Amino acid sequence: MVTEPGARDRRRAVSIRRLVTRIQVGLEESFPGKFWIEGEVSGLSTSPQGHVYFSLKEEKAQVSVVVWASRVGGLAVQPANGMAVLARVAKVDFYGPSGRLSLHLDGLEGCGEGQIARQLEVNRKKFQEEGLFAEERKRALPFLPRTIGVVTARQGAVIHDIRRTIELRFPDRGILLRPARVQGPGAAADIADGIDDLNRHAHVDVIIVGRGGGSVEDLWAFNEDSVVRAIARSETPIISAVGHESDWSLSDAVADVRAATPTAAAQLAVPIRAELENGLHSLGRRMMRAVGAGMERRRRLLDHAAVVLRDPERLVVERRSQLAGAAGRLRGALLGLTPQRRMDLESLGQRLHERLPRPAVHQLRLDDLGRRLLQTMAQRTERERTTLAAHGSQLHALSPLAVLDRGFALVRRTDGSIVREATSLEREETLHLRLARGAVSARVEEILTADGLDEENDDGKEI
Amino acid sequence: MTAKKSDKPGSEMTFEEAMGQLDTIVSRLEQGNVPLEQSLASFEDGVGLLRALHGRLGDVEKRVEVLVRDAAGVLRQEDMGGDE
Repeated sequence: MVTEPGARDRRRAVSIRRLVTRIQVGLEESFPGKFWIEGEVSGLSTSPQGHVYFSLKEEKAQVSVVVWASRVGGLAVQPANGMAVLARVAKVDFYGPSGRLSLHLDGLEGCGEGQIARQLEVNRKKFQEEGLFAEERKRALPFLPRTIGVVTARQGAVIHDIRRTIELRFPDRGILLRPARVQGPGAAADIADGIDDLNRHAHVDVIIVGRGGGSVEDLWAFNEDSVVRAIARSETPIISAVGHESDWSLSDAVADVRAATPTAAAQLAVPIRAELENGLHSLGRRMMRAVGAGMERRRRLLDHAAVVLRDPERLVVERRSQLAGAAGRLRGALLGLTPQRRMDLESLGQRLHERLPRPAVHQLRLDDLGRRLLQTMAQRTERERTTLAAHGSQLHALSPLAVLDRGFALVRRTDGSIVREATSLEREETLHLRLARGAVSARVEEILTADGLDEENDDGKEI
Repeated sequence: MTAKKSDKPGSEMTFEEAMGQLDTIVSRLEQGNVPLEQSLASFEDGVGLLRALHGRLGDVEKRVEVLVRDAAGVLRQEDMGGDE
């Protein structure tokens, strides 16, 4: 029936529809049954209806293939770009409306570990040469992230484990999940977009990318160019957690940190809050103890000085009893002497007594001085005790600033040095007085020598 | 908003750096031979750091959200809801 374009009339054309039909018939005759082909998946896409399109290629040859949506679920492995597969061809079809040849597949299998491993090695070598795995590209994870980004499946154990682990270690951290398909057609693109999305549109401090365990084919998306490059260009540090402990993906190699499992990734992402709190409390206690000890040391020095100042009275008492002892011994000695010697000595003793200082008079003065000292010290001690007690165990109580709260001022020169000697100042010199609350500038009007000081003036000094 | 929010020197101190600084201050105060005026200043710094660090621990984010693309292709965050 088909008219051959013959030599007689070359311009008598065959209709395209007829040609297409002829081709289709020829194909059916040439490929009567199902058969297997082997190749690498590329150009993967999925239609809105769920049909999956891609090319199978080897060096210098490729064919377009389609897997109808109804068949996709039955595939042994889900195709992914770069994956080496064995495909079962149900039909070799030449589709008239598009003029394209495509193979209808109804089966897809991985090519076996050896081939996939070879493929992986090729990719690994390529990225290695580009320097994507270099140690110096790895960034430190933030110590205390506010929000943790996660790119993984919305449902399933991975996000559950991550949420639970973070909640246990450091409750109230933010988690932002960017759901992504983690296997099958489009998974790699989705994961890569997810990483980009979290970088561009969200405030996350670290990103966990991963999925649970599965076959080498299931994990394939994490070996694809798009995912590896998205991780490499991420501004935010990335933890990769793909499969189990024994699974190593190219994502793991390019990420800043590789975690064996999603739970381990969450552990790497956040510290344990209780540990940090304990550390801070311990530092706080040590600081208060150190400052408290410094203040206590200074207070003891003050107290010691106060005791010494209070002592004159006691010194007099001691000397008086020594004197009484001496007098007793003297009297005993006198009794053993001849009357004449005794008289001489008594007369000497009388004269001596007249020349002795008048203890009664001195004692009165000392008693008075002692009383005033005791009174002053008692008042001062009481005041300090009240101030200390009032602040109790508060931080503030141990602060050197508490000294200021007792009404004292830290006097500094304009260069910041502390003033200890009135005589070191000059008239009209500007001073800076640090009070418990606030500070003032003051000018020196008059410089008093030590004689002009009243009893309060010791307090501003450091002892 | 591609600004990297990780730890860069020059910007605000990280938690780790602030904690290290506090540790240094405490160790210095513990040596005990610091003059009063210096221990006063160190103590003020230490209390400030301690307060800031405690504040940082309590800096609650708390939300668990999902980043989704709506019909118009715009990304937005919505609550993820309970886990269990």
